[in-house]
Amino acid sequence: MRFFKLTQAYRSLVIAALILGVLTAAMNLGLQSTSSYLIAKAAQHPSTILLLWVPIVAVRFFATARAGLRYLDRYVGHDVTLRWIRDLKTALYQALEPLSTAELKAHHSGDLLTRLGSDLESLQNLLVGFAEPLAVAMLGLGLVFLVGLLLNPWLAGLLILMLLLAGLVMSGGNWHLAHLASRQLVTLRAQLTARVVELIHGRTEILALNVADTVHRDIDQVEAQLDAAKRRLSRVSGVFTGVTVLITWGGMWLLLAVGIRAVHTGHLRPLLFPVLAMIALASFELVGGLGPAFRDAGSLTEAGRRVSELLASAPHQAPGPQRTARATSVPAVQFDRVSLVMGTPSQKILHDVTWELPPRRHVALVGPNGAGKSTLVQLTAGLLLPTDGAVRIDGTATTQWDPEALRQHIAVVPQFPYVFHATLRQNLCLADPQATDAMLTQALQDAGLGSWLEQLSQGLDTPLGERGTSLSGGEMKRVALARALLKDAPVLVLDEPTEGLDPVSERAVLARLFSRARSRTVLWITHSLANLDLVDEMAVLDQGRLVDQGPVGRLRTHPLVQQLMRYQTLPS
Amino acid sequence: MDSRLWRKVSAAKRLTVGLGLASTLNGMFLVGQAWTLARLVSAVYLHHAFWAGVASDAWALLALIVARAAILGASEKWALDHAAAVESHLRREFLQALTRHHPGALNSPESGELLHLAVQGIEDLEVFLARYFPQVIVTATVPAIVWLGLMVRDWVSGLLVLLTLPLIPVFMVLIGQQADKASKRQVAVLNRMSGHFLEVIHGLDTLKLFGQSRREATAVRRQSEEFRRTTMKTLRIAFLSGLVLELIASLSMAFVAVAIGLRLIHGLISFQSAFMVLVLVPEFYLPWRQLGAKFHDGLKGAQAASMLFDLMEGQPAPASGGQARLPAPGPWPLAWRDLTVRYAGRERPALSRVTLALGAGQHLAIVGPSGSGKSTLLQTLLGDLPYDGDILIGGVNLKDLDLTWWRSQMAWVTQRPYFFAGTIRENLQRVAPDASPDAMEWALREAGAWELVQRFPRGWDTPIGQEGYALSGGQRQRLALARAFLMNRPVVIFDEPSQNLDLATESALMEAMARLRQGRTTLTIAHRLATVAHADLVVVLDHGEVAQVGTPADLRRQPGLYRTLLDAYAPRGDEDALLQADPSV
Repeated sequence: MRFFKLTQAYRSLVIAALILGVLTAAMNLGLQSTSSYLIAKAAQHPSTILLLWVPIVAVRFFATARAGLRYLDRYVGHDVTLRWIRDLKTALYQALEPLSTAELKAHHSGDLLTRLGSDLESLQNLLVGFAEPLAVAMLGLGLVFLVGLLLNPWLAGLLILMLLLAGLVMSGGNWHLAHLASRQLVTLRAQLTARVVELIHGRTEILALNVADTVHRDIDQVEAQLDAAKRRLSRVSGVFTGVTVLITWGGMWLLLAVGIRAVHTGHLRPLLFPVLAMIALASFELVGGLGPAFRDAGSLTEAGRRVSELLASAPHQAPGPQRTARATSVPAVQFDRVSLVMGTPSQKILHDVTWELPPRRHVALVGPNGAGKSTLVQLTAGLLLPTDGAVRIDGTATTQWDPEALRQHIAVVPQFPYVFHATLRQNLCLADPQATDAMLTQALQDAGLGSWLEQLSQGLDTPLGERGTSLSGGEMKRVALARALLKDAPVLVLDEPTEGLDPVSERAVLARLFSRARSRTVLWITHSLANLDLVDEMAVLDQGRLVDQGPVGRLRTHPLVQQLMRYQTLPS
Repeated sequence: MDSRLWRKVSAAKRLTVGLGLASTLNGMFLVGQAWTLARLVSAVYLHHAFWAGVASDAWALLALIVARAAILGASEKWALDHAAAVESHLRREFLQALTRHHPGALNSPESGELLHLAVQGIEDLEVFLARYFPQVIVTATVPAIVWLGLMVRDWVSGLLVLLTLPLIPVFMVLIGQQADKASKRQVAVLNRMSGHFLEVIHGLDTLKLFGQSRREATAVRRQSEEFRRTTMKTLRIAFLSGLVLELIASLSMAFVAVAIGLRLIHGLISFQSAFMVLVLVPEFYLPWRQLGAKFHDGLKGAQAASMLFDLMEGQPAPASGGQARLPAPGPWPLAWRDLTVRYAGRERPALSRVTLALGAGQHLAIVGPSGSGKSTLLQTLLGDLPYDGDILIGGVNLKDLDLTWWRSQMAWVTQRPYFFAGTIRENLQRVAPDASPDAMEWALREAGAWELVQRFPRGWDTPIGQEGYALSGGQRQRLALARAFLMNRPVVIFDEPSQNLDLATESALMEAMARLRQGRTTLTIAHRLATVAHADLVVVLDHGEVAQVGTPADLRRQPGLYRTLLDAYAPRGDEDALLQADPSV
């Protein structure tokens, strides 16, 4: 997988982490065996304590080293993981940057982006939670074998066999458990969550329809199924726990039984018998980490697969030679037989749209929901490229423009503006990093946010919260409008910028906007048919087709416009 | 941890008792195991005993091992099962508490928070009970039993171990405080840093529009590097405390081993006792180390329990209502007299001295900015919101009405209608169990939903609800209307969609609404001019007060909020032309 390549820069650190993990386990083994050797030796009542000096020092060394090494091991392991994640994020960003959100959504199975956060979190466990226990178990086995050889090769072989068995049962058992859980629990949990969501959102209606009892009975039914599935799983889980204990201690018991015989036949020195018992007990700790590691292995693989898919994404249209030279005057925007096919199953969103937005003209674009108005915005800004035909800015097709150079000409208020988890100032300065306070305040006032700004206790430095949660939908739109106004671009494309504004302020904002933008081109997308007197002309879009275009007065009588007028929502 | 969990949930009690018993037995068997093992090792090593000499010890050891395996397996199952039982018990109680009242009557947080509690919070609690809590019980019992075993065989080692004991809680507390601090302050900072990446990914289009997207790649790297530094700083403290815990355990083990070694030389202790001590000492420290490692599992679950109980206990008793039923079949006239509604925790009333009268079979349109009290006015009819003033239905005070009966006289179509998980037909049957297929077809046709349903993959046997066929906003509305037709109630309450729908849906909805209004008293939160124009009475609400009330024609002539709205919305003259052009007038 591609993301493993990113670890290569840290190969030595990764190896260091793995070795530290193994060494920590080795120290534990050393502590247990030398301390049993120590007391076995002491039980022979040696004439002087000096004979015990070596095991005593060894015991102390192993004890200190175990703690110290574990600290180092955890530190290095986490540090290298975070370095790797840092590189992974950078690589991901570089892979995703050339794509538009719409393209991303169209090219990947829907929730790839929404799961990115939790996927990255799972991947943080790759080294510490998975690779290391595996390395400890595998290298640890070799170590145990070497130590065992000091006692007796047959016993060493038997111990390795028991350890392998324990390791297999633990990893296989936990893998199986996780698999069972994901097969049986995940769907039921999702069902239960879905019903709880419905219940909480529909509380008023449940009360009004007098159906609370039925709703609860439905939820209880799912809960009962979930409980039954959990019960089945807990039985398996309990059996695994028991079997693991049985194999661990039973293995030691078997080893002792064989050891008794070895002592009797002279193949094992009696002095080493207590050591054998302690080594047997301690060595099973080596494979203990395999259980949790394999419990998460499945979700780790899935996360890895999804992140790799994202890393491998590439824009579907290869760029040719790109124009970087800015237009010298206000550029014309032309749609030349533009069609767009998108989504799964693929749908034709725009049909053969030919349209021109002459320089400095103010045009309103109206149409019912789903007509393709917002798609038109994305095409104009080069966020989407047409399937057929061309969108030309200053005579150059958007496919031939360098994306950043193209967007210098256009300021956009999108349908769903994005507000960053930062201060108001930081959000606005995205458009113009050098903007002064006076400029920012002016832009906010022009966007109809003057009195809103006055109410903010921290003014321009007010944090806007995650995804702009402290803002209403309309406020978010107007922050985006202020941001677009700050950008010194000759073409303004505004997707319902005054949504949620009361009618009086709406008219004031629009009137000011259009009068100030005399030297700019404005494409204004609107649902409401009020304020159309402020623009030069209008265009009507329906089901992906440009139906009509011309002076406002004439188009008012168009049947589609009449219909739109009848159903338009009241401003609130 | 909240003690209410143990007082109120019997499964939690059984969980504790069972685990306590199992863990005590396990501790005792552990000591027994060490004792037999030491006997066996000592016999083989010192007395060169062969199999026959140690057979009884060997079999006893095996029996103890099997018994421990059984106990540990059983207690795992016990913990999982009872944690699951607590989980489903609490979820049931919680959800029932939520539907016992109108949301406005509850002193409850936002839906998002409730959801998080009902789904994630209760699950965290289950993890706490299944994983962390058993470890607490083990830590409370096993070290004590192991220590007793040590004292009996070798009190010197017992005392040595005891000396290190006070150090453990000190460092546990240190780790705990770190984790706590981390979870409160640092985690917020850290989340924000790691959230930066997701932010720029989701806001990529915006960055591009402002020519910042390529530059942002360096910021991604810088933020992730900052994240690494800060995280490592936090982790270093946690790891260091872990190091000290580990050192205490390791060194105490080494100290005990050397001490018994020296005493062995002088014959002050038997080898058998010495070996048993050596086996037991690590078992004394193990539970604490494991508890420290699981600390984070415990934190969140413990908080969830307190929040659940606080929410469930802080509730008023449900409104009981009276006994009265209206004799004649509806529709009835409705009247609000001097009605004031206050939500708990809010200073300003949601509705203030609202007086309004609607004749039998008349249609009321409610207009006003968001937050002006429109939905509250409708919801007072449920009889569950505490209010001052009077609500009269057919001249009878709502407080005297049999609430169950009264609620069965109303049909509600809200902005986001609730559907049961199940097919469309099942959803219709839920509200009208005796309805024939013909009646259901009629209702769907009346609601303009019949053609729509025909286009679904399996017609009206298509499953809907969150797990089923994904319905659009307009489709939900039409199905909810079909349900209202089928219910055939004399009072209909409609919250018009505030979002723009596509034209076909809009016209289907408007026509269906007009049919449903026939012969019923209806109340509509109106978002369409055409809806307002068809009403008999319009009330304009502003900040919870009645700003204007009258027929649409009256209001058009008066200066005021309604006129301002209308003027901005449609230029002079357009509006009349528009209404005349409307076929449904």
